[in-house]
Amino acid sequence: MSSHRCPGPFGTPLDATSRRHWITQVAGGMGAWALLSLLERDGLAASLAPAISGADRGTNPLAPKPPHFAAKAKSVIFLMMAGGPSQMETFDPKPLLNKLAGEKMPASFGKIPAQFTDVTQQPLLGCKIPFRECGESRIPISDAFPLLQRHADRLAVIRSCHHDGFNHSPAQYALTTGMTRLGFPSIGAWITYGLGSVADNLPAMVVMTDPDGKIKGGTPCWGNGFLPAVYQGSPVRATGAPILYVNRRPDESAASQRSTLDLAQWLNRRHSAQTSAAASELDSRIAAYELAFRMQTAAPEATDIMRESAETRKLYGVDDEKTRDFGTRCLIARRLTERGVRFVQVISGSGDSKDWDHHDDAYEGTLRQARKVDQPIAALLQDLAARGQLEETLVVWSGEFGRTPTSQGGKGRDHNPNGFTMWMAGGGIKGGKIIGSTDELGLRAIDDKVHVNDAHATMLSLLGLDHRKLTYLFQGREYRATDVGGDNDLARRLII
Amino acid sequence: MRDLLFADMKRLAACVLLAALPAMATEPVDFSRDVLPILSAHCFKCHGRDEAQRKGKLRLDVRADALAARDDFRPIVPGKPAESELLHRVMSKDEDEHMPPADAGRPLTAAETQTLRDWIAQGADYTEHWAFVAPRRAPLPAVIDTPWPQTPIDRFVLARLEAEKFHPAARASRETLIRRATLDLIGLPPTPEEIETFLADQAPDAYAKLVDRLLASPQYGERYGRHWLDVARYADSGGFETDLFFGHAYRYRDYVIRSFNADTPFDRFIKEQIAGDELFPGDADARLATGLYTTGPVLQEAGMVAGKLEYDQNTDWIDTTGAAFLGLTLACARCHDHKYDPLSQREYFSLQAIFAASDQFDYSVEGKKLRDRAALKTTLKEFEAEQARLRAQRESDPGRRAVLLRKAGDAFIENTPALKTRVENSKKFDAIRHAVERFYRNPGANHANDALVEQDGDDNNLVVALKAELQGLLRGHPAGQDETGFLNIGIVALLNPLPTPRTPARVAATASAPAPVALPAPTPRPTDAAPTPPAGAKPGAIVLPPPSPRNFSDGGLNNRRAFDALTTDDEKRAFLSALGRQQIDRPQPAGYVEDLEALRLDLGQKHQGDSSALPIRVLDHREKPLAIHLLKRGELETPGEAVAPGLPERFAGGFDFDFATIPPERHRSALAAWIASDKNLLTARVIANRVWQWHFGEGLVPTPNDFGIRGERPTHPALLDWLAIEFVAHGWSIKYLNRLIMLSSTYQMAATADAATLERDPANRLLTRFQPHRLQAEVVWDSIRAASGTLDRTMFGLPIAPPLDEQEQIGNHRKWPASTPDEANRRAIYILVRRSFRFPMLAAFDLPDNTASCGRRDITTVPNQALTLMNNRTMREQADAFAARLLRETKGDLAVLPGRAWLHAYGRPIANDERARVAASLRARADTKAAVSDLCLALFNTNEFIYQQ
Repeated sequence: MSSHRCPGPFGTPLDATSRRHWITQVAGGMGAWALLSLLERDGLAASLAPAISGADRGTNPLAPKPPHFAAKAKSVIFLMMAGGPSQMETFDPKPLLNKLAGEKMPASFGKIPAQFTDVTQQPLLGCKIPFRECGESRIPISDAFPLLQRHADRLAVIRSCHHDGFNHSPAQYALTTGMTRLGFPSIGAWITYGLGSVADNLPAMVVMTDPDGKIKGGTPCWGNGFLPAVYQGSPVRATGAPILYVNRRPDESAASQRSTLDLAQWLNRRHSAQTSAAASELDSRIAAYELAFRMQTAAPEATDIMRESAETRKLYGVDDEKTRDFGTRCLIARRLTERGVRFVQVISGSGDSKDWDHHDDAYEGTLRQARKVDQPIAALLQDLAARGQLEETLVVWSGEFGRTPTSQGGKGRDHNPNGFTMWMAGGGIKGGKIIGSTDELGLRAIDDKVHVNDAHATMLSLLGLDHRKLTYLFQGREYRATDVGGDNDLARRLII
Repeated sequence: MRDLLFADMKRLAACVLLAALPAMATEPVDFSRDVLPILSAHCFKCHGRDEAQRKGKLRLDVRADALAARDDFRPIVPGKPAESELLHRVMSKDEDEHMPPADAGRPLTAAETQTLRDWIAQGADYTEHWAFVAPRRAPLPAVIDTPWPQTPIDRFVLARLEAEKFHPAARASRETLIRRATLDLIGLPPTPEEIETFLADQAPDAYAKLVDRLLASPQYGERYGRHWLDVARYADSGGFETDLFFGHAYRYRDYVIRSFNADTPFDRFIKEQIAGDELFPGDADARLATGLYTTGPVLQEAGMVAGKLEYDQNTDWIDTTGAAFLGLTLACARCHDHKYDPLSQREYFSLQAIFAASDQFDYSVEGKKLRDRAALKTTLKEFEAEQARLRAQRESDPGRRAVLLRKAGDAFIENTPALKTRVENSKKFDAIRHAVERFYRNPGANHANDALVEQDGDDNNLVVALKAELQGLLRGHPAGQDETGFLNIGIVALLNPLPTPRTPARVAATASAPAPVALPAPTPRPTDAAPTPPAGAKPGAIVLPPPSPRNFSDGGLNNRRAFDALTTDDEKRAFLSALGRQQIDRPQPAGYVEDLEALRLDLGQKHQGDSSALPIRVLDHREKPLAIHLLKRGELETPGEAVAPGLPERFAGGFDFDFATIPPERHRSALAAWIASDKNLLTARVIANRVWQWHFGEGLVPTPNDFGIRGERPTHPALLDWLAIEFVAHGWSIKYLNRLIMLSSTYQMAATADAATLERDPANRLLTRFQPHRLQAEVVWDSIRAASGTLDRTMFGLPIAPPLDEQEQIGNHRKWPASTPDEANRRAIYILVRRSFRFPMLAAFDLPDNTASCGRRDITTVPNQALTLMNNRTMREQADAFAARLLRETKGDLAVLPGRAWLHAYGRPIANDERARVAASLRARADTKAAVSDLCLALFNTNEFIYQQ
């Protein structure tokens, strides 16, 4: 049970009271050091001295900030299975469910609200996918994830996740922002707000969706909510222009663009020199243009998986039609965190029955979707570990909710936010752990319950941020990423 | 180098830390800001106003109680911290003594204890929060630099500057002023012609006239209306997965634009939005105004329970009402009593209960009730069908289209005061000329059926009086000069000039009709009335008064006096006849509309009327009001006692309505009466501060949606009070406030500051200068199109959806209902606002989150803004169009082209060094068109283009 204490005034607001300073910040998505070094390289540092000295340096909202305490992880790869995978078919085996399959749920389990069905009236649906106890830790993982099974000892499987949004978009907001309502910052935005950016020429927070770009909750799933826009996730694509508008138009040469930009920048510097009242702010924009120009080279480089060996690409399943899309994204995610990107949100599905929303067939659906992500995820863990990056890269896997033990239409399962599974790996976590549990049928989290706020508190902790101190003043209240929750911060337990 | 920088940063960090330390003892502790939060968090639970919870019969929220002597101690002894038991208790190490008790909360921090100590030492005053006392009109402060202030505003600003030894910045150049004012009021850059006209006008009131012209422009509503839409958290869809299309939302948007254009008194504007249906049942626009409450976020998906939807809706309504009109964070009191502001949780739910009888209902355009709450939705399909229908209507059936266009044109003229006056004057002018012309061209004809020159309103009395007077004179006039025709001449001649333009529409609408104007006394006044005959004039010749130098404005009276001075009927007839002839040749009035039909069609084209058949969604009443309960911790699952409607006690001042005696279908009217009252402590100051912020980029109170204890203090409290009082005294007129502010020296300062000023007033809190600020997203979009000449100024109607490519639509789960290219360059205020998907180009420039009321937008500088302006495909299209325009306007003369470009983009002449630099750029490319297009793209990417300064 989370406390209902409002964060009140006792957090430590990271100077959010005056927004003037946002104006004077320098370089969205860029580390301040990167900016300084780039400017020095161009001999611009002197002319921009007002912009990057004095108060601005202290107020660049993306300047790297020290964590509240020693961090285990430096970055996060958040694997979001949009639609809500079934916990019963993946990481939370329920022998009793198979035993009672076909019968009505015993009345003692009570009722939960679900989207389409009345769980007290539907027959229980058994799980046809076998489970295997994997690794030394003997964590059960279903055969839907044969390759991930090999990494069981790296995983902390949290079986007792819950929240109260039983439709896709509120649940996707719960998973990403901690609140089922619209208007709140995503956890990636909070983290970027808390720690700033160390990425050179890349956005601090990146999101990669399925190629069709659809997601039921829409852009608020990686939005900045009430935080300044500088903290929102930037969509990155595996093909075409990796970042929106980062590619020059095809008819434009680099040289001609540079000469257009040179003229603009000449005018900008002239204007800035004559506008003393806003010179530092104007100089910031001059710097932003230089960085944008560089991003045009840096972003395609960062997302170009052809720079990886054929072996690596094969490992991620890039050569296999079924795994190509998600594998490519996982591989890009690794390349991005390697380059300092703080938070990479990789999304599989949109929340549709064609992907993870298995109202019609939980068995077929789970196997079909897992086939797309199993190899890429296993490859990501293996590759990160092999490169020594897993220790500082937190990998989180979760859907926006789980599913009902009862059936919908014979083979499917309805939405269920009352109990679902999330797992975490890397980022200092000692794997091979199971946290919490659902009841014997998987209907509700009952033991060591982990609300999404708790999961977010855990992520923040691993990154060195105290969720009670990371606040932002909005509409008269110091908001936290964890609202009034987050008391069950698992970090300490996960790292030992 | 890096090490040096790093050392620098550390030093800087130390400075920042020092600055952030709590108030030093030398600085007075502010009770409501510094002390109340501590008492509220740690003490009031047991020692507050809740009697049931009170321990030891001690309350600390009332000063008298806190100071009262107990058996052997006093909780607070003003000026004597050491004798104050309160301080002793919070610092005590004794477990039995220590407050708060261990099981009730954590001990106070050292800083909190220090604050209490300082407060008690300084006298332990329980001062009222500035915003919770009524505004007071302070005397205008004395200043030293007496010539500087042009308005009372300037006195307040200058007094503060002088007190702190600052000098205000010099007046901005006239080029700067016209650009600043135009971007500010209509959200577009001034055209080269407008700049030329303004610079050529050397009259002392040229700038005032400019401001008036802009305030009268229909584009004003599109800019200032957009400011209000931020406050109203406007969107065209409900958000979440279903992201329900609001086919009705645009009607509220258009209502807001119209209201700002018409300068609807703000108290009326509030009443219309909160209770237009109750208060003004016959007024279709007032009904649309309740769209404020039908355009909020809505989670309507399968499996949702009705109670949750209703609760979410009420919550949105109260939060929005509080933030938008009152500048209060009411939402804080949903889960518990407000920690800072005097608002209990019960009072919060009492506010919700005011809305308990209200809900959203759909009506047809004709006003038929269509469906109620349960069935509310406009599907994307319906929306697209409507889009297609209107498109087809535009493209085919020109006959019907002309009718619609004329109608729309007329409606637009009707709603645009300046235009209406022009058209009315032109019509009168035409009528006069025609009447006189007919008589002279065809004196033999029977003019009995010619309409007399009808004037409306009071002037009609003049016509009737004159008619009677002239009839006697004209009777028996020689044959062939029929009476009616001559009457016309006589009336026209003596009514010359045209009536002066009427007072602005809103004044006319609110004031009662003035009493009829009496005719000047018909007594002969030979001294001033008989004009001196020019030298050599024949005896008996009619001498006309010289034409009035100021159009027609004085002619009427002069004519009248001359006429009265004549003695014989023949003289009088001859005089009238001569005057009549003069009428035919007299100059057209300023702004004469040559071809009204063309104007109507043209305007109709641009401002296609609201011809959508989509349902209208407004507030109306439920058959049975909802039962509202106080919800423990704000959760629906834990309802407490039932709560009746009521106003928060601390703010209700003078409005002690007994809601039990008011029928539920008038509850919102009562709420509106309280909010839209000059007695309300907050309303006038909140909107005055917003208007200030809309002009300067920063309000006098930097937290426009939070005037509560946690909000920031005003920089110029007396000025804010003065503005609020003036505003109310002038009929809650926003345009009055606009004008007042813009005519101040403060507004007209240059954007310059010396190093010392920047050092001491870096954020311009003291108003040492005009602070340049980046244009808002919509203004960036509009300015680009205005400069390139592609801007489509069509107003109103269904939202447009400029086409987006696949990548631009990442995250979009619903279909983007792309408009046809002919609509792609309309003003950004008309772009579809989806809650689950943000239009990328606008999102890059800090479009606000539209879930809750946004009082102030962030302004960020990020590389993706640069990427957007460099690489978005529409940018090159706009650059090409701008280039084509420049080549056309300069006939391809590259020597003058840059100067023209500068006027369009920057509103100023090009400087020599710029000319040289541009010439080099243009020379660098062989392809002239491409070279000019590059120049245009470069201009769009400059700071000067996207800054208002």
